[in-house]
Amino acid sequence: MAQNVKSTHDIAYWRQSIQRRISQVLADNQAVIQSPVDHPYLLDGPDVLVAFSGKLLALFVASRDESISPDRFEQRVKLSFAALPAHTIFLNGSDLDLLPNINGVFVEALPSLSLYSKGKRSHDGPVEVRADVIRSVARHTRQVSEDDIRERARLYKRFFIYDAVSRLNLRKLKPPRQSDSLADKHRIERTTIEQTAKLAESMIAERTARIVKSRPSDLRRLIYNPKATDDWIVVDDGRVYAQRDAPGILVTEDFPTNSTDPDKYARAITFAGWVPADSDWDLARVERGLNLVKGRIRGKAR
Amino acid sequence: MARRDRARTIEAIIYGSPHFQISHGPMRDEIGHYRSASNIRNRSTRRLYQVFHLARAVDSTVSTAALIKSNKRAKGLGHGLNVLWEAATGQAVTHGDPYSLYGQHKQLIDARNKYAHQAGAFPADDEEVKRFLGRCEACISGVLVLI
Repeated sequence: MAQNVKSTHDIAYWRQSIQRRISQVLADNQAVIQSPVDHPYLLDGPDVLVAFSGKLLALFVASRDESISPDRFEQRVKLSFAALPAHTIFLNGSDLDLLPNINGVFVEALPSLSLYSKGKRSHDGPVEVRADVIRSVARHTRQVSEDDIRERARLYKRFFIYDAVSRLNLRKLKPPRQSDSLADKHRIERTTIEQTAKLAESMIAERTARIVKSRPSDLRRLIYNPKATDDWIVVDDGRVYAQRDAPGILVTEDFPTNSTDPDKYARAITFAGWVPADSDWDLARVERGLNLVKGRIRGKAR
Repeated sequence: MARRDRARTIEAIIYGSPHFQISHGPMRDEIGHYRSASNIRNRSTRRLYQVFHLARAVDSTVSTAALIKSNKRAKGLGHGLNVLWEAATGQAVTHGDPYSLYGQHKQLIDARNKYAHQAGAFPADDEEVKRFLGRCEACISGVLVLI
């Protein structure tokens, strides 16, 4: 326990010193340097986000767990890559060889950027950010093409569909809140009926969605498990692709709560390619919904 | 994680966008107001201020993005989202498509219109405010990915 307290304190110190160093190096009073990063679509985002004069740097440092299983680190980078704008420059504070698939994205001049000491987030030594490295990175901009944006739009469309299915499930569970007006209630009822009809329609579709059960405490681990998400987002030569046909269903007893953003877990899980479902739910029904989704993806999105 | 961190993250994404290099000022100001609105004592005033400031940031982010992306001046939030989605996917948006950018953020637009135009329409509780704010943040960060 005592060790935990110490390490969080050290990470805070690490962040502060990085912030100080980067703002010194950039010599830009306007630069926004944020750490910890709390992105609406991500449970674990980049470690530091630096914005200055139309450029965005996302800095990643492998945590202790991630340096033991590099796949998880790659997974975090992948999801962040899909969630952050296409022009973002990704910097790896730890080992560059860790990420063979995302080489095109990572800037190569960075092994000298010793932001961390092997095996854990750097708390021990002084933080060294070499000025010339950061400056050379700052000059670098990623070219964003139309195709790149189109591929992202496709991925987001997929995410919207998954989200619609999960919201449909959520709505079924919860009675309309008292503050909702009568018109709202009618609207909700109507859409639910429509959706149910569509679900019934899709009963003929074959069932291939996979179902994974998870305890609330394991959710984060599951999302960042490379096997689970690997076929959902593919990063190749600086572009993201969505490729799985049907999403997996994630059955949990309960979501961990986020005090400032109640929908955060549901959103982040959906963004990672899963449709969250409560263990009380009628799984057959959810599965039918997913098959509908599959038909839609095949028919329209492609 | 704290609300402040998320607001700062959004601010960084806006400021770090090459498209917003000139026009980031108003959006960042709104987000600054939104951050400081949490200090207001009166409950309903605080909720309204939070809702309005962030909704205004969403509005101008979307309209600016639509203007940059397709040279069209958006008539409103919904129109702006549709224009953006058309530009990003390269296909025309069919009316009422629930899986477009507009369909995704319809609840946000409805709630915003209710708070802005209906007398006595205060957010009922903190839960509702939080949900709305979370949607706004998701909208801004999603829009900035697609330009």
